[in-house]
Amino acid sequence: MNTKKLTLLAMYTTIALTIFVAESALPPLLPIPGVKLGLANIVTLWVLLSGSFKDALCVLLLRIVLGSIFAGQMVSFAYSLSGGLLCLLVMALLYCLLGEKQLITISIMGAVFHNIGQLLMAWGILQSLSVFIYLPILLVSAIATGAFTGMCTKLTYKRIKKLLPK
Amino acid sequence: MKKETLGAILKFTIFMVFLVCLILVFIQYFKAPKGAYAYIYQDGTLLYEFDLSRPETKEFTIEYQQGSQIGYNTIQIKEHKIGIIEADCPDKTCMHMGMTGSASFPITCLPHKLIIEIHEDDTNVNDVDVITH
Repeated sequence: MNTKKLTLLAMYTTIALTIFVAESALPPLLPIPGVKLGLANIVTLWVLLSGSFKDALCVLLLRIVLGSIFAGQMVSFAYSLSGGLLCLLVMALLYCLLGEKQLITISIMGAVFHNIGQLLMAWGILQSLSVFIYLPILLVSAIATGAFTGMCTKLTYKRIKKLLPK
Repeated sequence: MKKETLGAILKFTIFMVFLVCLILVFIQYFKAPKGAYAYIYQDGTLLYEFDLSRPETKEFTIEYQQGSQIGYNTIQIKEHKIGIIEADCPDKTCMHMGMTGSASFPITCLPHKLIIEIHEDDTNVNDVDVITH
């Protein structure tokens, strides 16, 4: 890893972390645990597009570790990690299969699997099957917010693709 | 398989899932049975059971402790409804969920591993550690 890349990834992590912390300060969209915009996923998807899977994994893991410390609770670490990793895996797989033209679909699928990952973790931690009552509403919100973050990524990608260092 | 075909299939699936889930959410929200019994679980164990049909008002605190982390949730029962009115968890989602008397969505506090379920009857809960109030 050369200095240029190191700096770039550090910058991406900072951006992701800033978005993550700013978003957690906003009032929740719906009073349902797990429903949120997931704006930090724009950065993850962006790094996946402009860099590689490894880069995206670095940025994601750093963001989750630092984000959980800043948010002041280590319980959310488990939820973020299970959701984030599943989301990244699905997005990376779909990116290989679909290419960069279908960003919104990739982002939606990422968001859907992020919520599924969190729900599975909640099931594991709370040991209560009743968390799955939230599945329909979490899927609806994931599809809506995933489409939104996908559009954001698409617009960003179009505009600053040329500026990226090769 | 071509990229376009796969993309189209995925988009169609997403659309269908969206529709089905939206309908399910509406059914859950509007057709939810009015619950009579509230069950409070922490970390998978049933702590309390309440009969919400009784006209009682109550307020109590459930402590949470794991390792060096300590916290609390203050639960209120009022006018046949139950809810979390105060908590020191960072996200406060449990407080935002408000007071509920229906079985549509359980109230959860993920950081404190707390879950409040509401059921129509008390037939399907069999737990030995029940403290009935």
